[in-house]
Amino acid sequence: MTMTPMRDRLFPSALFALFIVLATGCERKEGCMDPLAINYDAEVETDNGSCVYEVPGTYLNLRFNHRLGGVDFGYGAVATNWEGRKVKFTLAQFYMSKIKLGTTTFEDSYLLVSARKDLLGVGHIGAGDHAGLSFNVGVDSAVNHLDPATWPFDHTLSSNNIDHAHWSWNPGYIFMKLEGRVDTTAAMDGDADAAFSIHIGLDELLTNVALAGNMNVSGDTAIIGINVDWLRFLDNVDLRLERSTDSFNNPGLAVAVKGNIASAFSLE
Amino acid sequence: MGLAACERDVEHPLPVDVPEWFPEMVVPADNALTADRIALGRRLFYDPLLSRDTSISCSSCHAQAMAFTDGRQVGLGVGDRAGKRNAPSLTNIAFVPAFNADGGIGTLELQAQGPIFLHEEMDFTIAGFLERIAGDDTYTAMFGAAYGRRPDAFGISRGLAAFERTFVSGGSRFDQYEYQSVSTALSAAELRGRDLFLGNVAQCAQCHTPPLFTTFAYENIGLYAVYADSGRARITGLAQDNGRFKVPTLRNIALTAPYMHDGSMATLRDAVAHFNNGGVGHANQSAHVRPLGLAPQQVDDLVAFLQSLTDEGFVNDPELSEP
Repeated sequence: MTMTPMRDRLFPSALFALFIVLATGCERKEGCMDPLAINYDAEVETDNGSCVYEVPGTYLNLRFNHRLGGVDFGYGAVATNWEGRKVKFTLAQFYMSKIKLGTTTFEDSYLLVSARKDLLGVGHIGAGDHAGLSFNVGVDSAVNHLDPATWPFDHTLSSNNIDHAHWSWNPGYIFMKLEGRVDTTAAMDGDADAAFSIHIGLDELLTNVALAGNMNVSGDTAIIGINVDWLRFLDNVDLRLERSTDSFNNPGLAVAVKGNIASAFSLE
Repeated sequence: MGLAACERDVEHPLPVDVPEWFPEMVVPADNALTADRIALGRRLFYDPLLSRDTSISCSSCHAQAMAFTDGRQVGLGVGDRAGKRNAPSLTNIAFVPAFNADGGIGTLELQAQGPIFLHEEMDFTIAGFLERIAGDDTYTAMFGAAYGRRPDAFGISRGLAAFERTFVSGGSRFDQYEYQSVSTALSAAELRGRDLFLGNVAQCAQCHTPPLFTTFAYENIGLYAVYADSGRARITGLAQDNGRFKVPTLRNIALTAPYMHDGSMATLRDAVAHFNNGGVGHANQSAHVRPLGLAPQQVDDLVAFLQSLTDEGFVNDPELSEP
């Protein structure tokens, strides 16, 4: 059993609550307002970020090993795709949801995986051996169409997120963004200078990924490593002919990339 | 401090001056109209800090003097990036059930977030805006007063929507004549145009139905044989929705040129002439769009009537201007 103070996460809220009290002149009892916390106080009117929770088990993190084929991922780094064509990425990110390790599903955990980040927290899980890791690339339909402004401030799906990816004109998250440049010469001897922009979304393009393996977690925190080969998302895509989709305007390209998603992941 | 000192936390609905001949204004439960919310939204609406290079605000494409349009064929975003459609008027936006010309967005609160992110509009992020105003005590106080929270996407989207819901326009000369018994409010030409508009020959009111001058239906008006913009079909994926766009309000229409979803018609006369000609005969074309056989004088009368829908009080209302 570990005790996890939540003040780091809630500190900005506490500051704001303090401001409101000062601004309005209202004297309110401060403390913890979350009934799930062990120091919950029903008489508290202002949450000051002091909630403390009993947290069972091990906190699971996922570490992403971003790759471009045989080399480490780098924005602007020129790599060679499935047909020997030069490709470089300028934006690479996707949403991950319904993460399941063994028999434990992290129902409320949503990650925004960016090639700029390598370690993301998932949640607590019982220590021990767990067989199989699976997740969705994208956001399930029940959540996909909610107003992103209604999530808590620091939630992954909030439109406060600096990497927020969402179609405003037909509301729903952009599950995956792949943007960059590619050499489009027939001889594949030119520069990677033609822009490509592939945005995958829509409920029907939600993709489940299942990775087989036995994973042991123990201690306060555990890390499971996942390889992501960003080039594999573009396997068998002819980027000379097809370089843009918002999923609506070129569903064929979106479906082709969706078909590559599962094979782009592996366990470290 | 007793409870009395905390009464400012309670939301007091602020009645907007809605003409009695208008339908009821429905406001979301999480965004009841209050003076504080409208004030916050008003500041946000005119704030260029919402755009990546701080060059444009909501008002750049939605200027009050033009009934909250911009006079351009299509909107211009940061770096003069051209948008894809003509900026719609925000006249009576509180009564609109779905947003954008294709109706893809169901709430004004959700719509308000879109332009901030769109590459061809503000091309920015809410996170970036929040960073810019982090030291702005006035903004912090306004968000707190309006929504009881620090500046965030919720307050931005709700505040903008609250301010836009005050864009109520029902003070035209047509309103004076039709609903307030001012028999001299319309000229003879405007009255002839009114009769054409409401009557069975032109049948304009079938789609542009008073008092809002729209049914909010999606119609193909036969602008093109092949539409570059698929309109409603972009949302539904249905072939029968190709080229169908939401029927726009005609209130303040004389101020919102150019016309059509793509701004392809420069004048009101061009638009009336299109309907008089009956469209190009697209497979999805509305049955209401067919050759009308109107004489030039009748076209003039219709244009005159449309000009009577201008609400000078609305476009000069100081409460809607830049604070």
